[in-house]
Formats: sequence, structure tokens, C-alpha cells
Amino acid sequence: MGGLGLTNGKMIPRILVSLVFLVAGLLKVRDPLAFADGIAGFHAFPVWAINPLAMCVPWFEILTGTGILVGRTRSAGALAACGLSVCFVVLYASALARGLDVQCACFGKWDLLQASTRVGLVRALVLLGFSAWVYWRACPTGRATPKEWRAAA
Amino acid sequence: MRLIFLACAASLLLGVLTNSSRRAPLPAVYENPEARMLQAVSSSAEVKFREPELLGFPAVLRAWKDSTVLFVDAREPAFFEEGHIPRAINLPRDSILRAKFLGELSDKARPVIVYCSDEDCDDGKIVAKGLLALGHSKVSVFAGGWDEWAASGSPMEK
Repeated sequence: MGGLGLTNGKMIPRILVSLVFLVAGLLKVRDPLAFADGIAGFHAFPVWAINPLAMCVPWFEILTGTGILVGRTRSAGALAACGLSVCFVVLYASALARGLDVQCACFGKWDLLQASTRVGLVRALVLLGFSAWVYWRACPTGRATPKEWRAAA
Repeated sequence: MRLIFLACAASLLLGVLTNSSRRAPLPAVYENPEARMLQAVSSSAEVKFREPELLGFPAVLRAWKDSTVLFVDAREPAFFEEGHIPRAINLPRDSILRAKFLGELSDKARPVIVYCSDEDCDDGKIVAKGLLALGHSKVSVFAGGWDEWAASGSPMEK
């Protein structure tokens, strides 16, 4: 596990965030139509952007999850995870503010049974917290300076 | 940032490649579920788009007691398996063309009531419109859907 940089107990959040993105990405790659419907439900994107997003975002999530896991790319992976999480938070918060009941199918059709806008927002905030923590830990000094936020990726 | 830009480019490439290799690739421009369903139906039947009649709970309960009426649950199978109106069949919107092969729907004069989860769910209306377009003559929608049925304490089946 040394090559992956997974040598101590602090790796648990890193593995968790990585798994969340890997599983979410793989489930969406399997069923892009459900994800496209989920994106459309936010009423936040132009129609022409929905299907391209449904095709590409799952792969970006898979690469992000893999990047977090691999030692040399973990800070870039964690930064991408932060970026994605911020997008999720903004989307859910905006949907909640507009009174939309969004079921994003973020974890495939199974998600439709569980998720609501409120649950989605809480989940995105938790993911953002974990992603930021992983990024903070991934920086060489153990604490990200603004310069490192830009350079380490 | 270089790695992130590379990941964006790779995602774009992988997304396009995997989509083009699918049996049913996503089109370049998104179509909503109703448009998809109507397109599927219109390529296979003479289309007469009509709006289905909306029914309230008392009328639905009376119809349920009359066993000649067929109930169609338009929710996803996972919801259907959690509980549904007894004797209902499951026909989600993206499986509308299955209606042509279901024995329960072979008689197009048989009254059909379609329902979804609640009043905000459009799938009941979408499936009902699809059934009307496929030639079924007596198709209505239970507006309150499964939530109203379950809240009334009426029988349910798993």
C-alpha cells in the first residue's frame, strides 16, 4: 500500500471520498439516461448541456476517485473532489431555494428511493467537508496555503 | 491544475467513446421522458395524443372493487416492489412499449387506471398518454397516486 500512500490510520476519509466518487461514477456510467433526467430535474442547465454532462461527469468522478487513491495525484484528485462537491452544494442549495424536489440519481436508480433535495444537500456538504479535509492532508506541509491550493494540483 | 485539465479532457473523450459504443446512445441533445415516450410510441403506432381523465380517490376505490379495471403502476420497479395497489402491474415510463406484449393489456377496451407516487409525479400522466396513443380507449390517471392510496389505509400488496 506504500505506493498508494495509504500507510496510516488517517487514510480512512481519503478512501471514503475516493470510494464515493468511484461508486457514484460507475453507477452513472451504467445508466446515463437516469443521470441525464436527474440533471434536468435541477432546471439549472440549458438543454444542450444536459446529455454531454451526463456522458462526461461520471468519468470525471471516476478519475477523481482514482486520483485521490493514488499517492502522486491525490492532491489534484482531492482538489477536483472539492470542486465537484462545491458544484453539488450550489446545485442542491439553489434547488432547495426554488422549492424543487430533486432526485438526482447520483447513485443510480437505488438513489431514487432514498434521496430528496434536503438529503442531497446534506450529503453534498458532508462530501465537501471530507474532500476539503483530504486535500488539506494531501498538501506537503499538512496544511494548504493559497499558493499550494493552486500549485499542488 | 494541469492534471485537472487533463482529467477533464480524458472524461470528455471517455464519455463520447463509451456513449458511441452503447446499444442505445444518448442523443446529443436531451429529450425529456415524455418526449422520449411519445417518440417511442409514435414510431410504432398511429398516434392520437389525448389527455387522460384525472380521478380522485373515491372513484379509484370504487374502480378497484370492480376487478375488471386494470391498475398500472408507473413508478420504477424498486418502488413497486416496496408496495403497490393489489393486482396492479408495473409499467414504468421508459418501458411503455412493453405494453404491447403484456397479456393484461391485450384488451384495449379494458378500463385502465394509471398511478404514480403522488400529485407531483408526472409519470402516471406520461404512461397514460402512451397507452392512449397505443390505442387503449379507457385510460384514466389516479391523481393522488400511491401516497394517497397508502395514506387511506387501503389494501396493499408487495
